[in-house]
Amino acid sequence: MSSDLTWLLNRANTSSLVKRNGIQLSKEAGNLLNKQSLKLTGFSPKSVTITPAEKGVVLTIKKQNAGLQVKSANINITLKGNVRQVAKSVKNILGKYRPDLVDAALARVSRIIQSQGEPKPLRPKKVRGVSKK
Amino acid sequence: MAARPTVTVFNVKGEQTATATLPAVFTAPIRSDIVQFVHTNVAKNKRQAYAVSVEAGHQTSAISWGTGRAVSRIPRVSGSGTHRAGQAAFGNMCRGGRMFAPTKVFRKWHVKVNQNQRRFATASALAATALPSLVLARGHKIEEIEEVPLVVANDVESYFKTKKAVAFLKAINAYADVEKVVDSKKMRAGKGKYRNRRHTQRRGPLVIYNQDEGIVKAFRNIPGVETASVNSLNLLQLAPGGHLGRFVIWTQDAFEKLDSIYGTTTQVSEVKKDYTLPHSIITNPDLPRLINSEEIQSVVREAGQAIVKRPFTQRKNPLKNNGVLVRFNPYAQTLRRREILAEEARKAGKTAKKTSKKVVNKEFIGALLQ
Repeated sequence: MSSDLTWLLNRANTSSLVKRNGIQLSKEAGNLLNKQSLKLTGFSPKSVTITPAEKGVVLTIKKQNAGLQVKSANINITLKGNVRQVAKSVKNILGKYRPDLVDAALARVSRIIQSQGEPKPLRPKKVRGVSKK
Repeated sequence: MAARPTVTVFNVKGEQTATATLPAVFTAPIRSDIVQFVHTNVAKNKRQAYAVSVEAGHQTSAISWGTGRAVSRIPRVSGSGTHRAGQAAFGNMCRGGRMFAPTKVFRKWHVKVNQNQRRFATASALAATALPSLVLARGHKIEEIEEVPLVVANDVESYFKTKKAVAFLKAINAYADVEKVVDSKKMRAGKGKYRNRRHTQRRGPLVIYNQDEGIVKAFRNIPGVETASVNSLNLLQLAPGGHLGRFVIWTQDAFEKLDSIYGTTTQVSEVKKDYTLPHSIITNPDLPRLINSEEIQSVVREAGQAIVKRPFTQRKNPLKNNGVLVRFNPYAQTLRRREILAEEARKAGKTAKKTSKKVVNKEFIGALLQ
């Protein structure tokens, strides 16, 4: 099934399409920027899915010779480490598979890993004016 | 058409047992426009007649007062003694009058759709059920199942207990779709609530069988799950709402019967008289594959230099910017250089200031002034 034909059939209406306030967004799993577009659609046979793991992220790409398979068409790669290490592997993998999605994937990876770290301590609030003694 | 792949047949525990060839109907062209058109019209055939009462608005002996009474000529209720007397009646603009163009039960409720179009739509909808991306886009939870189309052993046809049917759906990882249906159950918006359509819910998997040996009763109480006989497939079930890609679970016998029911692109169907399947005009709809193919790449011209419309981000004023000025007028540079050299020479005192000597021809001027 060609990605172009899939897109033509899915462009106007899918269950994940959200049309609201004059913009079209899409909430399927493989959509890195949640935008309804040919490039980013998660229903493509060459989609990229990034989901949080326990620590790090799981990068899911699709087998290109999957045939009729559904579950085993996915290749799940768990990536651990700090943002830079993970970003490097993501770049290496997607550079060959979907070079046009590298930036979007890196953005998602960095936010996921950032959310897994210790939250920054809040700065103590400065009191305005002179306190009474 | 490309070689048709083999499909795995799973037993009721979800293990692979046998294989089957993909029937030709799954290679039919997917035409969402035809499916939508046929769906809207076929869906009309289940409507029930409704109309207002034939008498409504006419159950009074009203008659027009004619002209000369300084009121409009609309029929008015005769008699006296009640407020109703003398009020306008019958008209669609009147209180208590009939509606405009009262609805009739003999409206044309059914719509004929051409047989070949109906068959095309069904074949198209069937083909779409075999594409994971379309089934996912329809909203079915099929991420965990092994294959699409999902074919299972014939044992399921003789199930008669719902408990076993549920266990089977869980074994083939199709139960996620049922859970989605259960979670989706909501109160219907609007008046349908008191017209026996109280709740709305999503559609789950469609189980297609060859022989009903209890399968219909086993599956009918599972929310969202529907059953259908392979001999009478219905577009309203294969593409609910006109949206392609229903999640279908086939029994092996039903799956293998498809070729005899629909025929192939070359072989005539055994059931439908003189029917062969429609086939795509384009065998390969993969556009990037076509563009990057050897045949096309070998004949296209080489890409030229990219045309850049505005190489500079800001326009420079040639009267103020020397570099731009020189680009327009190369002589400007020589001119400027000469000016500088002359200026330096003057400062160094190399050139004496020219003192103009006025030649005064006194005789000539005198002659003029005379």
